[in-house]
Amino acid sequence: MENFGFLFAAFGLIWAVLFVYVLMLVHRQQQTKAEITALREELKQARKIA
Amino acid sequence: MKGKTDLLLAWTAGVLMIASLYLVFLFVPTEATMGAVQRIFYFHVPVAWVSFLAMGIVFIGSIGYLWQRDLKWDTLAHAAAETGLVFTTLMLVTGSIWAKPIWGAWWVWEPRLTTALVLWLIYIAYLLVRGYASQESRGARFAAVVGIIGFLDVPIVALAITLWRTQHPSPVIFTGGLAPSMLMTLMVCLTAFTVFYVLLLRIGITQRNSRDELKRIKAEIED
Repeated sequence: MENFGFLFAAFGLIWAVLFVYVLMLVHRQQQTKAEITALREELKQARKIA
Repeated sequence: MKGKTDLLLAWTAGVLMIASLYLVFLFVPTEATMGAVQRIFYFHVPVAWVSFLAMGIVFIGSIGYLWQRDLKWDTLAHAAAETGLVFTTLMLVTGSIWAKPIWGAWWVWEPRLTTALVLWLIYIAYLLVRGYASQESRGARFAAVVGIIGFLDVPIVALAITLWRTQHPSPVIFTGGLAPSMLMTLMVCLTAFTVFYVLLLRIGITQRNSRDELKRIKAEIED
């Protein structure tokens, strides 16, 4: 009884979940960084006007 | 320096993961009784180890936060918990996939599995307590208490197979129950997942620091 289906299901799941998690982390970080840059720019402009 | 360390960790984890796949699928012999499905063990055990390690870091971070009230400890614990939840989920699911062909059932309410499920629920509780607290500092404080109490479950999960009669396989790593090639494969997999976890933890910490910076800038704009 080799059960290759179960073996590949387990390995596939591990890689899929970790891949999605890493993508999610990278996406979240990029979003935060973009927001920080935009707000810093906004702050700089506001200081100039003031 | 920080980026270089992350890059080094990413490369090390990548090389070790490829080595793990080679060892698991092409090098290590097939176990006589369980057949190919036993190979799940080489990733199930490292994933379980990382989920224990993550709870250990949550414990240290929680104690550090309650003691010094320094947010860096809370950031460490929070990042460790989020990644820990991912690995604990993988531990439960891969264990379940292994159990179906071997035990004939996806899930059995026996001590090891039940205490592992409790660990998963502790991670959920830790993250929910933070999310639903009215103030961030209060959430961090409550979560730290959950993190400290929750860590008590780790030795219970680890020792469940020796303390009680369970259906879960008995310990084989430190008892000489593994052939040298199997032990070597497991060690490489354990190292690969540990390095990968450290990388994810560092990314998580960086992300929380960026989020804090974002909050500071927003507060500055509002003022």
